[in-house]
Amino acid sequence: MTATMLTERDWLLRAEIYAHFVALGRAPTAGEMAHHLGSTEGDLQAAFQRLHEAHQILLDEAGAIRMANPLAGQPTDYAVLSSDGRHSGGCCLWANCAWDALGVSAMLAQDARIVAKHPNTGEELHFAVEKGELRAPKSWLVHFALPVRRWYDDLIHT
Amino acid sequence: MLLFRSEEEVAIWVARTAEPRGQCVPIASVWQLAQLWYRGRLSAAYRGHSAEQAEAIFAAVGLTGEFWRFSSPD
Repeated sequence: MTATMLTERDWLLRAEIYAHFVALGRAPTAGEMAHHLGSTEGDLQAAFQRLHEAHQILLDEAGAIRMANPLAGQPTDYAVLSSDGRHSGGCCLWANCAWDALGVSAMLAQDARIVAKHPNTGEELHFAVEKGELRAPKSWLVHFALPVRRWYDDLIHT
Repeated sequence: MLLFRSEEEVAIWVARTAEPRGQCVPIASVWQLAQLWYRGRLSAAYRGHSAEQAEAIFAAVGLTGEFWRFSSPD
């Protein structure tokens, strides 16, 4: 399935998922979205699957939201804290990767503090967006392991 | 997409993990990319990026070439 095959209701659900994700500080469940939209959990799970197949979200094997890029449905090596150090749903939002950590700030149009775990040493790496400007050493870089045509082969690994 | 402080750290990671060596992008460019890619993602009007739109975003921050294309030229 491609994104062009999604219905308007599917796209509305996508936006609602993102809104709930940000408000809760975690991925909403199909049951929560069904309650919110006055639908059944089965209908919502089927819609989750359509969004998954169209690469708008990524579900885990149990059908729960694992990714709604740039947001991660579980703790990762990239914690994004709002500029005051808190989000409404708890301590932080989790991003899927370094690009997505900055993507959370961009998506929310909010400054952010990011705490990343070094891939080799496990050290904490701190950087931030302040007044819309990146605050990080200029020498830092992000490694894109796979060419973009392979990104959807394995999003978790990418 | 992992964060490193230098290309030398990337080389260590590749040697340690046997992961493929891809491309390194300065974090300032990734911030530009993040803004172009994720701005508007919360909007109900968002309809995803087509391959052409995605490649245009990459090109806007200087990411061009085969690595940044969704399909190989025939």
